[in-house]
Amino acid sequence: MRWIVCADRLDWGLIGLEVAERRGWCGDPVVPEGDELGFVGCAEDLDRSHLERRLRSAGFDPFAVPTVVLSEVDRSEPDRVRALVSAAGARARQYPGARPEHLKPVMPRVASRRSVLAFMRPIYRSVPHPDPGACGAADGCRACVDTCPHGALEWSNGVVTDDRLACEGCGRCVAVCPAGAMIDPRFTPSQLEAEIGALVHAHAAPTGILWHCSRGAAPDPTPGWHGVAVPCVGMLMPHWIIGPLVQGAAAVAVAECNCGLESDSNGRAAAAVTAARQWLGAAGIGDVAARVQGSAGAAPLRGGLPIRACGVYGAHGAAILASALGAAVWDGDLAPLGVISIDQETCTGCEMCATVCPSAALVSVGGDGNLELWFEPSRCTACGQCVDRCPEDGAISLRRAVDTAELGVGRRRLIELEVARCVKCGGSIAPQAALHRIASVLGNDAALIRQISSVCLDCRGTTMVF
Amino acid sequence: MIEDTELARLRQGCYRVLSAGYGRPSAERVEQIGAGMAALAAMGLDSFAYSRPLWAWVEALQGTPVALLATEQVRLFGSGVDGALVAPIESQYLGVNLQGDPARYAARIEDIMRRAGVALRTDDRPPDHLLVELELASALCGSEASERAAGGDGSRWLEMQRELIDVMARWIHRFASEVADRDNCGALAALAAATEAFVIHESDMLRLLLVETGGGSQ
Repeated sequence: MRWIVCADRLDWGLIGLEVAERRGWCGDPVVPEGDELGFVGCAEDLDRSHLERRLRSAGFDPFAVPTVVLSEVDRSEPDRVRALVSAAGARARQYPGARPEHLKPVMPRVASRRSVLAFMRPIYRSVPHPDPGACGAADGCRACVDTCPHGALEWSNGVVTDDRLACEGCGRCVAVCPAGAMIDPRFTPSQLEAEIGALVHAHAAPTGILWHCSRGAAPDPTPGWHGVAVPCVGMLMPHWIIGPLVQGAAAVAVAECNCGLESDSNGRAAAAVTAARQWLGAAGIGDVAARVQGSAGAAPLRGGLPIRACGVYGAHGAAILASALGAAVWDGDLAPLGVISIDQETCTGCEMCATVCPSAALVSVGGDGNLELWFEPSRCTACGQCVDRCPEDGAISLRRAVDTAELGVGRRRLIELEVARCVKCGGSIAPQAALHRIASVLGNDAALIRQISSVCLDCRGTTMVF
Repeated sequence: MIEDTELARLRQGCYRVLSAGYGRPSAERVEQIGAGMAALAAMGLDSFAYSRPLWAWVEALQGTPVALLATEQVRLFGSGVDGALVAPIESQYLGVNLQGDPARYAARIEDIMRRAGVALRTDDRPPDHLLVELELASALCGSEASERAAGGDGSRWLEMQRELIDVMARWIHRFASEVADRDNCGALAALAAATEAFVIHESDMLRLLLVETGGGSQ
């Protein structure tokens, strides 16, 4: 990657990076032709929206071009500058590209003497949009809709539609999507992983990672710590908070959110931090308070954990992390894994739970004269869609827990139900339990109950049972 | 800063250039499209995210032999519904399963045309053909720009544009995907992608403009 750098405030000879220095670049960001460009500017001088327009004019996708904005503290440490530049490059290489649905235009209105209305030239924010190929909405999943604090998502006829202008980009839908289908192109799991990996490995000394909200002001830099932006800290799940530790970071903290767009962001982040500490404690990580700190620099940084894992920010990241951290049993409301159990007496075998399960943790298997429901705990993200959609009270329950013993058992059969056979063709009608349930609803219409229980749908038009 | 009238003219020009892409290809038309894009660039096109797909289309268009483009256009879009592999017609995407739906969608466009005081010159294409819809949107933007230049807020025209574009935004993605799957020359896939990017942007832009003129809510 070719880096164009501002040469006004920094002696790049000391940094030791191969860069093209441009004096006054921040004030007039000229974008040259070519691919694989990156820019380093100064927080004091660079107008990002102006740079975005220049990039677009030159044929670049502004989200794809890494731009590092250095503060005074950053510029004082050559190591830090190298880490920031390599992390921005690593992140940019993972950029998946944005579709038109990912772009939210923002055009502030301004006063104009010539016209009734005038607008600032637009800036674009990335917003999450579901990948229809991976989204489970068609089967009834609406985990993202349920979590959106701005009412920007709507489920209708098996499709999730998003209102870009209502979306504030808090990222909660990205974090809860059990299928990893909700994508914000600027904050994909692989981008975060690449950025954190580069930041941690750029330093020989222990490094702390500070999660912070991308929409508010970035926190003041702390020596030894690097900030990593997420849409908002209110989206952070316990396994995201722990994630940097298994990438080599010595400690993690979450910066207070000051964007003010959701009132509960800091409360959610604090709860996730507590949950992360509980999980680490349950896994026998002794110095939990030093690893997950209340704020950046709250305690001296020590060496990293001797545990490594990748893929912890993805849809199945919690299961990956649980395997990496080792034996633990931790039950909690924010546990990102779940254990499903089914009540043998109440379940009718309607298969709604298996149909709606967006991560294929619950699947139904039709056997010879029976129906089985199978559960794979490592795929369960505790989204609760199966419990929400179950038509029978108490038939299915979810225990939110990281339980490595359960993960170790692996795929298991939860229930096996006998399926009634058609008296005419021998084909399947429905599980006997479902037919009993139907009979209890129909009450005393014995003829109808016999008909429904004895003949399959295909034969029902031509066969009567008396 | 961009004045409201300039913005309406820019959007009018974008619709116009895109609709030209769905017309019969010729060397002259390709040249006109290039000139149109240059004019749009001078009006501030590059400030908007849809400029990249538009430029990508023009680049693909200028690099494709006109004869190949013409063949591919007939193969994909056809001269009528029967001959089209990917008919650029709204009712083909939104309403073919319900009796009378094609007529309902065409009638919707005709109703907007009637209220806007414009009419189709020929019967070559149905009113809900993409080219016709883009031309109509262009005309509505033109009326909006004129009204704004005269000191009005253009909200009547914005409401009509929104009626038109909100429905287009529901099917344009499927159309663009199908063209991308089937286009052999690349230029038509790029055209459909540019149209999709612009229409989706417009559905947001119109809401923003309506809020600013007091004629709608976000």
